[in-house]
Amino acid sequence: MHETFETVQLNSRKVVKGDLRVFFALTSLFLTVLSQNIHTYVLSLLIFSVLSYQAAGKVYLRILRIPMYFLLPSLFVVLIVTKGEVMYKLWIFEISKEGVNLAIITGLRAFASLSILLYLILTTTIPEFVSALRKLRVPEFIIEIAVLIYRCIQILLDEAERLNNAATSRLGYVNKRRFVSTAALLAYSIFLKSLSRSEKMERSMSARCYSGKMPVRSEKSSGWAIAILVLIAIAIGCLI
Amino acid sequence: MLMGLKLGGDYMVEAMIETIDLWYAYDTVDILKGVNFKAERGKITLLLGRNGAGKTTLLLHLNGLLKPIKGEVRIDGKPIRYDKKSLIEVRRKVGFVFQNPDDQIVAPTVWQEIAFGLKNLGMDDDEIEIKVKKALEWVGLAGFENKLCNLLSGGEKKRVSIASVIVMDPEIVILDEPTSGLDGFGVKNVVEMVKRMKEEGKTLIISTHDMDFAYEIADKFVIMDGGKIIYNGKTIPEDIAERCGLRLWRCR
Repeated sequence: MHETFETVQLNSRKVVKGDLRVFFALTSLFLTVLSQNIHTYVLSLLIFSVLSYQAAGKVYLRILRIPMYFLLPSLFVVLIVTKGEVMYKLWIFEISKEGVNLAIITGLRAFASLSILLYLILTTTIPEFVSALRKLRVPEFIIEIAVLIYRCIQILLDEAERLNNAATSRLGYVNKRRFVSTAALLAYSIFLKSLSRSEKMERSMSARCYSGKMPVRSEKSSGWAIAILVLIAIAIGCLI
Repeated sequence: MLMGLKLGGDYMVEAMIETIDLWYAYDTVDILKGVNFKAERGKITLLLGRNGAGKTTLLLHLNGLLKPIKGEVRIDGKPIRYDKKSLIEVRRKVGFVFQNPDDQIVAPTVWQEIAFGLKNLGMDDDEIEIKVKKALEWVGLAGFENKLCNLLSGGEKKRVSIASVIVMDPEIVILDEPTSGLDGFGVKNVVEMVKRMKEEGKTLIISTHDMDFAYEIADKFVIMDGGKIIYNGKTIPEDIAERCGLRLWRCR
């Protein structure tokens, strides 16, 4: 079976467990984004990179690579468009001292936030995240919709994989022309299948007296010491 | 009604669930044509017949998922009513395990899937926790609480779908082709679970094409063909099996 986010989330090593992990990551993210201090960014980046690497190993680095493709060009743009005292001139681009400062601050802040978010993504399944939301008194109907949408996406991806295999095994993507026609056919079939599956899902829910409530389970929180220490460190970083 | 009296060498047992002259049509095509079905309390009734004979349509009526155009379904002698409150009562009493577990699983994690029915019945979280744990142990999936359903094997998904129904403790359990798509271990597992459900006093109605499975567990066979019940008994006559495409011990 190929590796998906779900398998990574389930198999990752977790030092902070339960709803606490979600609150811990969200609070850290909040402090980091609000902070104006470069120390906070460096601290968050280091701490959450270590935590994420410890949790998911090389998967963290692999995933971090993707946003980097967007982030690095953006930082380059920040570098060249910020006006100020020119330090270096490269063809038509003028790099100023202010530009370098801004690019470093923006880059660190973005990477720090990204490392926190990736830590959350790599260690927390959607049902665990939803369970933490319930603790925050998010209305029941939002939780219900979130759980159902997640399940529907799982079903849709399953169907898409099956149809894709069926098409590939009969040379559906043999050339560009066939690729377009197969992709169109697949989109149409997935739409029809999703309608039929939604009918079956509704039937299955009715058979068990569906009342509009989705059960949500919270795992017992642990790892308080680490969570508190990290939060204190980030908070101190904000104040320096 | 003669209940529990010895009659012609056999016991006439009280019917737990029955249909009286049940008719149903999809569009203009009649699927059920006056079905009189009866399942007895605490027994395993096997529903057999070729594809398209109307087995699943009949089973969907027993849980109140379909409403007949004519005739009625009776549980413990009382006709089903189709208002929301009555249907909840019916579905509390009659559990339905669908043929394809992927069609039945509505929640992302195993725990949520099994807790789904209990939450709908309004149970509190502590009670749900205990019952889900017991149900998972019952189907041999203890420790699977936090696993995601889409990452389970076919056999595990089947066990989750059975657990999600038995956790509601229904008196009658309907299994629609429970062995389809399962390997030998999976089938053996379903046989064991069905036998255990019977020991616990549940009434079982099972549709299948798997005759080895049917012979292993059946108390009574009901054979459908063309939207009607054409046979009802404890053995399967060869001529009827031949006519309805039932595979007996010789490959046909």
